[in-house]
Amino acid sequence: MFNPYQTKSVVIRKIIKESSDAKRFVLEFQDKEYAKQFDFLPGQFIEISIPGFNEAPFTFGSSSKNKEFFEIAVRDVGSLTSALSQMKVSDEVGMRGPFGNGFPMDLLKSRNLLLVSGGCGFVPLRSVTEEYLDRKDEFEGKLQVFYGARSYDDLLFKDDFEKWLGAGIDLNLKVDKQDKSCDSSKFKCDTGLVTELFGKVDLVERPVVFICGPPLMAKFVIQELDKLKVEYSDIYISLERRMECGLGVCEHCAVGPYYVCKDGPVFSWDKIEWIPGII
Amino acid sequence: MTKRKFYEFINFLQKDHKVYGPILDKSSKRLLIEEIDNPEVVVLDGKLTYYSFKRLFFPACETLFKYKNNKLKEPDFNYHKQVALGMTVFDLKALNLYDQVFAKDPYYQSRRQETLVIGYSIVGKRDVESEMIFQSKYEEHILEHLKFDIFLEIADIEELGVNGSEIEVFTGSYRGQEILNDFNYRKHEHIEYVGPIREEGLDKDMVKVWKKLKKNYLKTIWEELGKRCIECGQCAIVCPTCYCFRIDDEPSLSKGEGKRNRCWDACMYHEFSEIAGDYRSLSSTAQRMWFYFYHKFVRVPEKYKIPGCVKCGRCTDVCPVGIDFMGVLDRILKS
Repeated sequence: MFNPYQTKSVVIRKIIKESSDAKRFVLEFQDKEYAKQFDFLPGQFIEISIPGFNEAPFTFGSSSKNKEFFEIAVRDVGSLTSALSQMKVSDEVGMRGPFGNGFPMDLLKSRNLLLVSGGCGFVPLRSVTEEYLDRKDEFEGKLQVFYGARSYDDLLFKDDFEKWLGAGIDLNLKVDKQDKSCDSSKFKCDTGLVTELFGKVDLVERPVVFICGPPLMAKFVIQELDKLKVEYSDIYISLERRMECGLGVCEHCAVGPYYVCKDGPVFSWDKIEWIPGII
Repeated sequence: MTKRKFYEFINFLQKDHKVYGPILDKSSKRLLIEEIDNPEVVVLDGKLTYYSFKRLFFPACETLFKYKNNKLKEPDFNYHKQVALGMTVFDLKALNLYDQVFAKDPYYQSRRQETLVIGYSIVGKRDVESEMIFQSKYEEHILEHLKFDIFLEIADIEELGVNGSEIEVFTGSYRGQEILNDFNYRKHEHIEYVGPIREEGLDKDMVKVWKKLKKNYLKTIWEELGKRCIECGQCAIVCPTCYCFRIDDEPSLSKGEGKRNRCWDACMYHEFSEIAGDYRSLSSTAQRMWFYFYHKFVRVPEKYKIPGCVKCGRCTDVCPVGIDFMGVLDRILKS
């Protein structure tokens, strides 16, 4: 019988410092046959395992079109993330997954997309962005990004920004406090909250919105979208919950009638907005 | 089957099984499920055990993997043969749910395969009338929806003589038939398992609560219960259907070695929903109370089409602040 708790070994091929406390890990399967049939969707997640430090869920940060490797980005906030951030190139970790549903990428074939994110929440949206670029010929829609962080240093994936701008992505950045690096950057970056971008920036026409970030941010973003008469069924949010098993059994990630690990982590807002404490 | 024969049967099973069943704990005066040495101490009087039988199938803590040099070692799933003796109809209903919840779980399934399930029920004096009640009540309407290997229909305990034939024996599996035949006891009747859902459709009481709770957060009820509940989690521990768990590593003193364990959890605990940054989506006791009921009466019925509560009442019995869980159901229905 298949053991769903057994992990597959992945090797760290590259570590890129993204901010003062966040790193991006480029991971590669040791089992090359397994790697060939491995696939995922932006927004899905995996459990990363380091024996002695438990497991923790991470979303993919790269495009699924890369078959050689996949990426995650990690902020050092707990025991596993701390252990992970001390690891070196060629070290091995375990993983199981992918789990969950992912973002509905096919909507981009006919619709414009707005990504709204804060802090580390941008990781799965980078996966969406990279996937969008890799499948550009399939998609008619434009891509607009609202991305905020505490400081310019805390913005992840800055190395990608130029490439994204070049590809016609409308990138709008916000940092919480006045920051010289933000003011002097060549990107559209200013001080304030992500929600302040609504009203200031012309929104792409009739957008589908993907949100991932702190619950408080998500709450205010949805209020803004409501004002702009964006349908709840066009708003997709990736929820963060404690996911122990990833199989819809352990109950930790249940929200109302759903399991974030199986039915999510991405939900359209009309499905879940009535659930108490949802964000 | 006579009482004497029944004791012989337990002895027969003990040859290659560990037999677990209800035994009276003298100090606490509670019925506990322990490994049976002397068959005569087994108590089958229709009363529920303090804890449920779930630990025999899904232990309070079990090792999923041992790890060495940071590699998880696949376990051999070699569990000893055991007998779960004296499971009531409530306990068997809970087992129906577990069989579905853990259908793809190799740990549960391996243990389940090695477990002989012996259920029982008590009927009143054996006169023609009760015989008929039994026939219609259990045989046709209940037993065929329960999974057991052997089921014992025991006549009123006061009447249980040594030589009479007071225990009616039913089988629910080939394994049950085989083991009785090996014991050279052939007076048993087979009941074919037809699945957990009755012919007349879904459990009506279940559907009523399910509909009521599905999209309504009954604030008054949960907040009132939230003020009383002290989050001890005992209701979840004794509950035969609660199966929340967490996975934790337990490093040993040797570097890179240890165990990855799966242990019961309880949604009443405040850290149950905690994620990085100390954020808790279930932020109050009231919300966790709601979560407990919502799991049993909405999520389980939606997923498995059977109730997530077997109404055994162990939760109410154990609650140190006197929450009447059945009473809560009544309030939900009346709200």
